Amino acid sequence: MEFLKKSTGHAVVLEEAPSFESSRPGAVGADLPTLDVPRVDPKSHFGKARNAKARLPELSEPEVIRHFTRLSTWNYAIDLGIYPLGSCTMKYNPRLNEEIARSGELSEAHPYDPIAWSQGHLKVMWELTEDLKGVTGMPGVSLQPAAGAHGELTGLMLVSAYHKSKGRQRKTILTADTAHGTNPASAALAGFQIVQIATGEDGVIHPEALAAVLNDDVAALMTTNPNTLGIFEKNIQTIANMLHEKDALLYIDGANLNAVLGLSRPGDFGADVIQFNLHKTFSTPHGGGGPGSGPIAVSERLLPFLPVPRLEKQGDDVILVDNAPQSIGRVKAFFGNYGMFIRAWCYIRALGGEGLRAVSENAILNANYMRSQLKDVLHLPVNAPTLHEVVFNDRNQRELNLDTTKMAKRLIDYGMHPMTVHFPLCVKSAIMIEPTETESRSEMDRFVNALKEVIRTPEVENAPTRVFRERVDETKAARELRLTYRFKD
Amino acid sequence: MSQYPKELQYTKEHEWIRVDGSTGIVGITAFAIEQLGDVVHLDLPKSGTKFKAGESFGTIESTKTVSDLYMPVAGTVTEVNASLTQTPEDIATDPHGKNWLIKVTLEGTPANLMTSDQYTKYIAEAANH
Amino acid sequence: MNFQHRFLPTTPTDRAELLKACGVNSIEELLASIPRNVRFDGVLPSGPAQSEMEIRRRVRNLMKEGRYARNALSFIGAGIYDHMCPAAVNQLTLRGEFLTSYTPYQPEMSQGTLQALFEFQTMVAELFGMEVSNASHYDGSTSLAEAALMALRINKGKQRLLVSQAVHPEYLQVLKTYLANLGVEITLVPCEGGVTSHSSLKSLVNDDVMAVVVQSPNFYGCVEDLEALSSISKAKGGMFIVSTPETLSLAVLPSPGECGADIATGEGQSFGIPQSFGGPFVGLFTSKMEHVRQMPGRLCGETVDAQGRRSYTLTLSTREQHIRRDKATSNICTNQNLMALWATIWLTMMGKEGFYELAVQNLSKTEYAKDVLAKTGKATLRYPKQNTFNEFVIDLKTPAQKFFDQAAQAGVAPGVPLSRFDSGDTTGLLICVTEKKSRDDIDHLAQLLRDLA
Repeated sequence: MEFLKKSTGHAVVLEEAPSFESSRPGAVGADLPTLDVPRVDPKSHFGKARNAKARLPELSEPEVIRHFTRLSTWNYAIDLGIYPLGSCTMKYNPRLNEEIARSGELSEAHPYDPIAWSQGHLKVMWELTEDLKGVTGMPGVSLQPAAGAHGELTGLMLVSAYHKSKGRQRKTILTADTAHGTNPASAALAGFQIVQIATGEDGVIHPEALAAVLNDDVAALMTTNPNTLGIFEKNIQTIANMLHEKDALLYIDGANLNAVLGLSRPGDFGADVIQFNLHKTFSTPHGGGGPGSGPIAVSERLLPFLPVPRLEKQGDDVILVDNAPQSIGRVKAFFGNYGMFIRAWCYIRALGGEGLRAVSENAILNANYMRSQLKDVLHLPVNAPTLHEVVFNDRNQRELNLDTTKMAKRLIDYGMHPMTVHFPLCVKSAIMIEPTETESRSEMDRFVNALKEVIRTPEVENAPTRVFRERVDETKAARELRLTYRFKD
Repeated sequence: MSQYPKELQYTKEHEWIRVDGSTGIVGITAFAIEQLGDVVHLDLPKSGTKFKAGESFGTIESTKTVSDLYMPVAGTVTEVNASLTQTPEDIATDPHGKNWLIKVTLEGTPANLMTSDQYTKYIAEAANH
Repeated sequence: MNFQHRFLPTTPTDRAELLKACGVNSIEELLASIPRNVRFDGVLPSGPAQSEMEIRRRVRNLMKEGRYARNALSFIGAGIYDHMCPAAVNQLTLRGEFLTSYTPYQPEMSQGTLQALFEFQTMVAELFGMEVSNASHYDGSTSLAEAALMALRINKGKQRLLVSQAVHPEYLQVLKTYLANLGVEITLVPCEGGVTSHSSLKSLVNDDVMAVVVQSPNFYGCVEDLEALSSISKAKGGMFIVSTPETLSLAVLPSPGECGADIATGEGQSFGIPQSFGGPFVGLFTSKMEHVRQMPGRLCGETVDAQGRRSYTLTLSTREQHIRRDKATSNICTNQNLMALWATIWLTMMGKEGFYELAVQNLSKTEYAKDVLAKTGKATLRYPKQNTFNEFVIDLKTPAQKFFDQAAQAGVAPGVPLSRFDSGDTTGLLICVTEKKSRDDIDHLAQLLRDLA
């Protein structure tokens, strides 16, 4: 297999210093409108003004374009190739969604505009709400949370409000050992303590394990389904019933909802709350780490506590309602990340109900194909049926002096982003692969062949070397902490 | 197996204590440091802080993990190894000697601690799992 | 399964081969692990698949009564500001290498994102006059809530948070929601003449106060005396937290850092980010270096690679949820990266002088507007003695909502009636004037006021 010259696949990759170093006094990057009113000088007007102008760089427009275009060539991206990050769901981002979200019709609206001007936007939000109810089979939705983790926090606040409304304070949230790190962090922020349940050898939660820790202090169980091993929680109905018997709630982390669209609905087995990660399930772009959007859906039990404002239909119009005495309040200013709603709305319309199911089916097929191609070289610690992602570990490679981290770093030299490593925590040295439905067979084969070659040549050290920057010294970064550019003056 | 000094006592969480009458010196073991990787930060308590046995008295961080430090015995902190908080990476050399973490006055008798031999066996078992 | 779609590369022939490789005859066999009693057999109610053309047509139809289609004129601000944005910013953020990349966990594959973040952190820290900035939060309101949580961690044991009544009402609601389950008591500090009352603050500050939160320019557009508020706030060991929703004001006003802020947060939407009906924006979060380990959110740091070349990586990750789990400094998972990039490009294009001049234009146009609106005789400035940046409150002789509704008919949003936030405040209208409003636009607003019956 051929090494690439540079891992990001660009023909030319150039050095580019921080903009502060190429800055030259007098260079202008943007033109301002002509000032058509009398000029007010800030210093004399305020008496007390800022000490000195902020040291922003000074560059012309073409220099700014080159600066950021050069930086962009140092990045890998889904547009360049497979990004098989388990649990992160890196799939193709349709371009129509960008065109529409960035058009003036959408991007210039203000949430405090006269409501007659806002009907189009409110209808988009209403329709997305209906889509999300359909996908989950749950009766209530709030679009307000700004990201998946924010949705988790909001959902747990609802759980807390539910128990408070019954005149009690329950302190425990149960999670599985397959949980994302955000689950315990969100629970702590909502004032709860975590008790962890170990999954069985088949990778799922067993009713007996739940029974052992289920008591009157349990507010909810928080679990991902399918879980982060890519396995469907087959006991989920029994688990939901057991929880409800104790008036505890079932929180489904919707991070893997992309695996079960049109195949299984959390509302049907009694889930009380779920958060959506619109980027994972409905393909809003990751943007190098945000913006996300984390709507939640809830059961009847939690409807009274949803955040405000809420959407309601009044004839043909959609209105916003603030009056909800049991609501937890607001979790974000304004109405949520609307720019992400419109992208998800477009995505859902482009696929339709039948297409959403095809998304999950193709994602499952691709993950099983990856499993079939790698199961002879990598060890499968939990041998249960795979849905949208598959988790291996490095057991077969350890005697070759090849571990998970080393395999991941070496894949970079073949021009592809590594899989998720060392997660979920219940599998030591995990290798977690999620191809998603938007990868072709040949792109998956490219990854499989590269990984097999890495395993065939365990002696190669110090990867990656075919990159713009080789192994980055993270220890030095943490010890010396340079978090801002040091200006010369 | 001379790596773990005989005169020290060890915890399952990989702290050690050197007891001298009513005072003690507490540190962490070479095994723990090897598991952590490059140490980048230490968070240690102020002198005068009182802890129960088994209570967390601080944290030790590498780039990828962070671990709580647990008191081997109840006591009050009398001194913190100041040079180590400046250059936490030094802990990699001589962790059982000059790179101790805190000095304490004991407020209880050390219990459930391991001898050097027991600790050596304990970590050998941990490595096999 | 016969559904073929432009997003799905697998053809029927591919599918047959993939199934064979998996050792099964149908997709259905791969779904067998989903128990029968929780399988969904219907079709999701999202309608049939639509083509690009059909979706575009639907959007255009939905938006035909909107602000853009009406070519409307707006003086609404109140936390979201209509500023100019050079064309290059949108173009650059459309590059797939930025748009479709993942969080930079693998630094060797994401140096572009990381260097841009390092530039972002530098600019934000510089604007706030603070030592350290993180890689961003969801928005200004959640940044402020996270600042309060950080103060709670640093000042363990103190239970009271003082919040100026002139903080954006929706920010205040978010603060209350975030703190509801954590045993913190929020006390509002009243206003006097449009700004936080110094004497009330003085009487409320005691040993139990973990922090004081103020906003400047505040919700009514008035500039707070941060230096004085800072010294009152910190007298008993509490922290001083400043929130700045209109961050363009930082170009000309004394920075929170200069004035003694311990934590300064804000909204980066002012840096050319489209209003987008309320989001996505970018929350800014800055602090002193001594508290860096208590900061929430992601941090990018400079280092070197194996060849000794300048490089960047995420650092101090041990504060974050994926490592510290329930003891993390926040549950936040990533940052608001693409919007942080947008802000960085915008600030780079505006540059040192452009950024300053833009602020001068806002200030000048606002002073002009205050003058001509007051001269209509139909309204008075509510806080004539206070300094403002690009927002101010007028009191109408008739209900502000009535003027708002009439003006809306004429394609003008004249500001935000304050009755939206306080039903008792029927006469107040919060007006924002940015560089995008021409003198004619402002004169037109004055004419509408004059025409008001």
